[in-house]
Amino acid sequence: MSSMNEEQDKEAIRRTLRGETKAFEILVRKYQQSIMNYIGRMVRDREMAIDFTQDVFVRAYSSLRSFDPTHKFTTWLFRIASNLVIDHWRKKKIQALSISEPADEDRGPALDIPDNGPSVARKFELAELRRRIEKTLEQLPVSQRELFIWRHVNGLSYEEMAEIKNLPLGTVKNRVYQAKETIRRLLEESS
Amino acid sequence: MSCLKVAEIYAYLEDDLLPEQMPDINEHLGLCPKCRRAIEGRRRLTEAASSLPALEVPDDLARRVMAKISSPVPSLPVWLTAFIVGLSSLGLLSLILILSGGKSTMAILAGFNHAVLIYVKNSIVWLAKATTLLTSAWKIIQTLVLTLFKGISLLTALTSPGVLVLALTVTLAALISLYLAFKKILWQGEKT
Repeated sequence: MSSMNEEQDKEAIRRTLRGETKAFEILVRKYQQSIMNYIGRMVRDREMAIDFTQDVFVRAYSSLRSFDPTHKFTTWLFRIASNLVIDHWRKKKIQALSISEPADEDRGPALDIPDNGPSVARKFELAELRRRIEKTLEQLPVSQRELFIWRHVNGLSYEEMAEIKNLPLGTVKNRVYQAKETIRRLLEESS
Repeated sequence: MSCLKVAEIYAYLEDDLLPEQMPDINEHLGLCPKCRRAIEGRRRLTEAASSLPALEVPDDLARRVMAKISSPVPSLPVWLTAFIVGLSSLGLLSLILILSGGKSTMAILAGFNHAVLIYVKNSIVWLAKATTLLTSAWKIIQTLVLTLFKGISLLTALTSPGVLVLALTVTLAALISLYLAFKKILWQGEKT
């Protein structure tokens, strides 16, 4: 199913490159929601997220000839989106330190499990928990937030994320675990 | 077995542990309420994180994107084209140098110049000859056409219209007879 999906994307790309501009619209409609979900949660500003989502597709279109068909289109598209978001952070000089990887994360979290009574996750209803997670996302370092969103909102695999960010698989997994632990800690603190 | 590390808990929740690790972990979870709670709390957190709602996309987003990209996908950038042309030229030059088998660059350039000069000289000679030939052919054709027209004019001036009609009819009849005769010969040839 996934391979058929990829084949459809590649066919749309081939048609676009042959001059059928309309074929690209299929790709825009197919992936606008995923890109919006990612960018919206990264920049936390709806209007900016809409502009950036458009820019991602315009950039993808302009450099479509450089797309390597041996890779997935979505991986390539998320890489463009990630570069755009990181450029935005750099220009704004916001959380500049968070963009780089935390120094010790490759060694993996060697945290002990805190045992402080009922978990915060069990204290809230699911809807309330989601609302609180959304709120704590903005406090996550960019490098963790991005991977957390890709994993849990966009449903990307660790392998896909490693390919997009050009990072070792273990680093990607650890960063997602770190993100979840940070969210859990922030929820504990705020409750 | 000691209590689970955070990475092990998440790997456990995502079925990402090695099969040989599972018996020990399951045994430990049966004995350790602290680790069970830790897993349960993180499972709920993961479930909530994986069901965050989709953000609203404007209805006209695709249309806006398409309005910005109405022209076809741009071909290679100019700098890249220039780079490729430059690289190809260098490659060609390298090939000439390799094929020259140790001759100096000046000798190769001199040889190249000489070959080009001979080629240009021969081309000019052939062009001049072709022009002369075409001019002569044109003069001959012109003379023949003029003679034919003069002959026809003379004939029409000297003979009456009745005789002309008769001559044309005879000529036409002769041509038709010739055609039929050839056709018969060819048909007989096919038959045999």
